[in-house]
Amino acid sequence: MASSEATVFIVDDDEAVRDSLGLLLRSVGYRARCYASAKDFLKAFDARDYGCLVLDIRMPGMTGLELQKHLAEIGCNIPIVFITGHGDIPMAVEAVRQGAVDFLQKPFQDQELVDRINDAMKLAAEQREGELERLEILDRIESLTAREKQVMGQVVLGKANKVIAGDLGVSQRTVEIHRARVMEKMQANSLAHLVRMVMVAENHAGA
Amino acid sequence: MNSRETPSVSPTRKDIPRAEYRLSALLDATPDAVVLINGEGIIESFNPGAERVFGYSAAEIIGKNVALLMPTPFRAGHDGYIQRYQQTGEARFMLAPREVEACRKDGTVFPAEVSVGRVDGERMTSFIGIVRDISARIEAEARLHQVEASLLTAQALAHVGSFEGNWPESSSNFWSDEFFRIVGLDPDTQALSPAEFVRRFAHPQDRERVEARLAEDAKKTSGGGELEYRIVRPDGTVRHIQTIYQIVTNPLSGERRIQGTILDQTFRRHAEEALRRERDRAQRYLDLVNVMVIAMDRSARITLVNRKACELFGYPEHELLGKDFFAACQPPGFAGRSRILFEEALAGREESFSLIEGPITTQEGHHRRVFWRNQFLRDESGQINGVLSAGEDVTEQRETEAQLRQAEEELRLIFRRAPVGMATLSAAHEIDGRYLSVNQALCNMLGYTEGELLSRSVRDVTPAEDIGETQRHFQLLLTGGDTVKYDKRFLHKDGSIVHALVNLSLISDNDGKPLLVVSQILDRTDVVLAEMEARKQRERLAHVARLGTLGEMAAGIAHELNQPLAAIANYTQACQRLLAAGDMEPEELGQVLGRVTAQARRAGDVIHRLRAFVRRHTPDRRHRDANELIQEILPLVEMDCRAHEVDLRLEFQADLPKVQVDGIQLQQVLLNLTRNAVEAMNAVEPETRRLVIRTAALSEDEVELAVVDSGPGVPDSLLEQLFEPFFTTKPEGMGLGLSLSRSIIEAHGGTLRYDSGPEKGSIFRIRLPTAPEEE
Repeated sequence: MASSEATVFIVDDDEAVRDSLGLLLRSVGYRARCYASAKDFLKAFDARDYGCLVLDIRMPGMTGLELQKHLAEIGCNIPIVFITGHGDIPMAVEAVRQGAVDFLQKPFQDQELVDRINDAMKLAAEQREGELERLEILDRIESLTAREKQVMGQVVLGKANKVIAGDLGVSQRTVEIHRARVMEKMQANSLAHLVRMVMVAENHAGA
Repeated sequence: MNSRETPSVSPTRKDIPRAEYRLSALLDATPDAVVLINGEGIIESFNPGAERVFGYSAAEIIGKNVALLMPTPFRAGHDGYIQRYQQTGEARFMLAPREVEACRKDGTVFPAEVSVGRVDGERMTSFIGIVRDISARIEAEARLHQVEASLLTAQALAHVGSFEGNWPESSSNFWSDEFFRIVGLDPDTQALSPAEFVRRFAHPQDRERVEARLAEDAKKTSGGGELEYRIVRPDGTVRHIQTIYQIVTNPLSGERRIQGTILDQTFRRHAEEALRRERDRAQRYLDLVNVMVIAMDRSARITLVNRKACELFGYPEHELLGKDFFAACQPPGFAGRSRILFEEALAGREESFSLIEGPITTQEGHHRRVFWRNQFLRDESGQINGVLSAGEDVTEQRETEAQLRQAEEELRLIFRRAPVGMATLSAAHEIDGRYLSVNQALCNMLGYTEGELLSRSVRDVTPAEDIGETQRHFQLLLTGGDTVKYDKRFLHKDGSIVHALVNLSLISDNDGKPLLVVSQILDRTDVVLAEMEARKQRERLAHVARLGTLGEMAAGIAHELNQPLAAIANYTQACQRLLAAGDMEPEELGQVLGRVTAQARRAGDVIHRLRAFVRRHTPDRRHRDANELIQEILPLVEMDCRAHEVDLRLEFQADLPKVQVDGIQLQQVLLNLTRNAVEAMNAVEPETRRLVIRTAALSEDEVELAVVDSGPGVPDSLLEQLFEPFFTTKPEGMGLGLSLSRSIIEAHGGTLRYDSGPEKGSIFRIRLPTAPEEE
């Protein structure tokens, strides 16, 4: 199912709500996929899929909040727009605190939803861009030798070659050679560029 | 005859010498008459004995012919007799005493014994006659003969026979005629010895006993005995005989004889038997009927009193006999009056005397009540000489009667004065028969006078719409049981409705044919109106409570409404966009609009259910299936469960007996219970939240609706207050839910109680009586 096309994933246990949302989103040009439960969604979802999630906050089985938490745990940061019923405001606030794009209270104006979806999609696009860069950086890091990774780790901490050589118990010359290789393999224009790339890689690896 | 105290003196006495004087004294002393006559029959001497025997004095008879002393037929012959004797020597009277007849001076003739001697004197031969009056002897002899004759007759009449014979040898036996007759033998046949008689005639069952006695007596030389046994006569008939016998020994010859009688007891035995039976029967009868018999004479003195009377009065017979009946046997007050009646009756002025009832006083001073039947006793001339009274002790009977009368009177009073309405009706006419009787309470209840009500029927005082119901209950009474109890409405005279509890009882005759219907009518108007008011109050409260319940469920309700509304909004907005973009075919549009309509209906249904539930309504009890009632509110329960992540399960028993309930009220109770359960389960993890609604028929008569949750349950410390008004654990709760729920269920004749769950959680059980199907 993996697709490079942006898709709105709709998860709602109420068939009518699900169906009508799908129609509404298609009417504004989005591609939409509907799921009756969080479980169904997880079964079908691929990490490389790209788009946003419209999620009913209250569902039997796994609730919207639980699904959000689960996705974060598996490192999936797909943008989420929650839709809530009356009286679920505290839960919705919690959802936003956990990183949701926003929440909409039923019933809502179509434009409101479209705007939120657009925001989410923009975020998704950005995320997708950043993600691609990160994957490239990770590929470059993968091409380094263990010693080179060690040296890079020390370099981005701003240590002088002499200090690094002392720490690793090698000659300063050796450190300089490794450092040149790292810069080359990482396609880094400057030390600053290298530091930024390492940060991108680490940010997402540790999320 | 002259008395001995005045003896006659012979004129010759002083003139004779000493020897003659002695003779003269002898003549004077002898009781016999001594008469001396000469050869010509002239009396020469006449002693005092002769004076006594013949009644003549010596003076008047001496010198007269002796023929005077003879009865007339012999007189003439006497002279000739003497002459013949003197001529021929032929003597008829000489020496040997002869029995002749003699004649006294008064002419009476008497038997006499005469001895005549010849006295040869100097001048001529004289004759001396000694005459003894033997009339007493003759009389005794005659009497003896008569007694003997009588004895024979008596023997025959009394069936007494006699026997005699040597003992114990069997010789010279004699049986009297009656003996033969008793034994049934010809008197010409030979008499038998006792031993032979017994051997031949004694009854086989008695023979051994009698022969043993004979053997014993055979040794005796004197003494006698008595024996009773049966004999079988030659013709086969059985007679009871009694024999009394005596054994006598002649002292000179040593010869022993037996003499005895036999008596035929058969008739006596039978007669005695019959008499005893008759007497026993009479006695038993008198004992049984408790009849006293008292007879009294004209002065009320008791002349006869029977055993029963003695027992009752407590006196022995002799203490009662001769007493004045009224004084002795009746209490003073009553005695005075009954004596007057008695005397008036004797005088023929009182006719109501034959039957009298009154008290008597016993020896111990107790009073008993006796019913007397009196009858006059009359002598041969028809004169009243007393009264015979037969008295019956009726004390207990009268007491019972008095109690019965008292009870009847009490019943009558109870009927008239009872605070509940009472009436009787003929069973035959059912509700169209006029009242046979009504009491004051019923008149007051319905506003009619007794007369007005007695001219009306049940139909007349029943509202038209209730006629069928009333008829049904009468039918039930007549075909079913002895009593029927039901709530009934009556029509008051002023047109208002009287609510009553009616209890009909059927009274049937001995054959089970319905006779009478007794109706008890309890006016329950006040109670019913109060109940109606209470019901209204409860409904108002219930209404508020329902609103409260829904308020608590607002989140769930909003969610339930938001879903279709959101869907509708989405569909329509999508359509707008697609149409604006010219990107929608009419066919697709129609499809989408169909979905919009469905969602609008869905929202409408939610609203409809809510409105139905919170609507103020008039309580209305109908036959309902509890399962169906739960199904109707299931969407509300489900939305509540969804809103609180509760797993809902239904365990319905199919074909549940119907209950007579107000549907909305029962649903309210159920929703209140599920709401509480859902609320309670907020305290536990969503995965363990489970709500079960279970229905079951406990019996033909009872249905249970249970609401079971998996919450923490009710702490023991709160159990007592659980159903109290204003008790709540919810911050916003009014605390009316459970107390109201309980009062609603109890108003339906059911119960609502709490049980803790098997592990944890709560079980609330509603139990309701089932209601029979209406035809």
